[in-house]
Amino acid sequence: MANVKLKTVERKTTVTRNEVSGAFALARGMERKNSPSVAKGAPKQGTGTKKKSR
Amino acid sequence: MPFDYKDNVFINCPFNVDYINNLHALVFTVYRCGFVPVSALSEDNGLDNRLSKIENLIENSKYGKHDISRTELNDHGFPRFNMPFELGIFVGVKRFGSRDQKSKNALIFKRTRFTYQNYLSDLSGVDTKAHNNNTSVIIQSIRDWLKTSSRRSSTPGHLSIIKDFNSFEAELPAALANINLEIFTLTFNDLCLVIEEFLKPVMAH
Repeated sequence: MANVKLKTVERKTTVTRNEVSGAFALARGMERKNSPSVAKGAPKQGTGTKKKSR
Repeated sequence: MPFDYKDNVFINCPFNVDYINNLHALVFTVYRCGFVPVSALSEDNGLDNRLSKIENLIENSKYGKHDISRTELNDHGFPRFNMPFELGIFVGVKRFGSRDQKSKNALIFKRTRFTYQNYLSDLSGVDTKAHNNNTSVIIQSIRDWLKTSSRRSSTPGHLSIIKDFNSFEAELPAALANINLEIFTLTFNDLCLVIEEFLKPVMAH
């Protein structure tokens, strides 16, 4: 099934398109920062040392 | 604002705090299905006659989403007739207009079954939908209506739209705070822009 194409329209807005996309990016970044997996003190995945098997 | 008759959905619904979640759900669904919402609130030239704006928007929209669920008394004891009035224009244009205008298609929402017959009995026999102020019902009704009336095979399923909408509602307060805006005072045009920017990555793949 083909994807639906988003149809954007230029309207008279009080904020710019770049400001809004930046606001969502910032909000998503903050959400990730506050999530339990990356919160301070939580163990990070993939950063541990792996013992070599002999 | 450029118009594409086959893509435009004329939004005829209340614009107040009580209706804000429903408004978000319906505008979101229209975009998610590949259509463009248009409203008299899109035009901000105070010199234009309001009725002329509405007539132009209706003329340039193949689809119309009309919500007559809020035809109730305002604080001064008067009923709000704007929505049934605009629905009447839409129906009249379809009946008496050109060939293109005769292809118009409408979805009429009411709050609960049969209540509208107390104040708009001419609609008896017309297929209307009750949404009970439930955003999931609104999303599914609009999606099903646009899919069947446009016959566009690419229209996504309602469950994926509901999932995307819930993500949008969760992210919206923080995103708006970042640009010093708030949900309840968002203009219609700003709401459209915000939804477009949220959906860009969602609909890109």
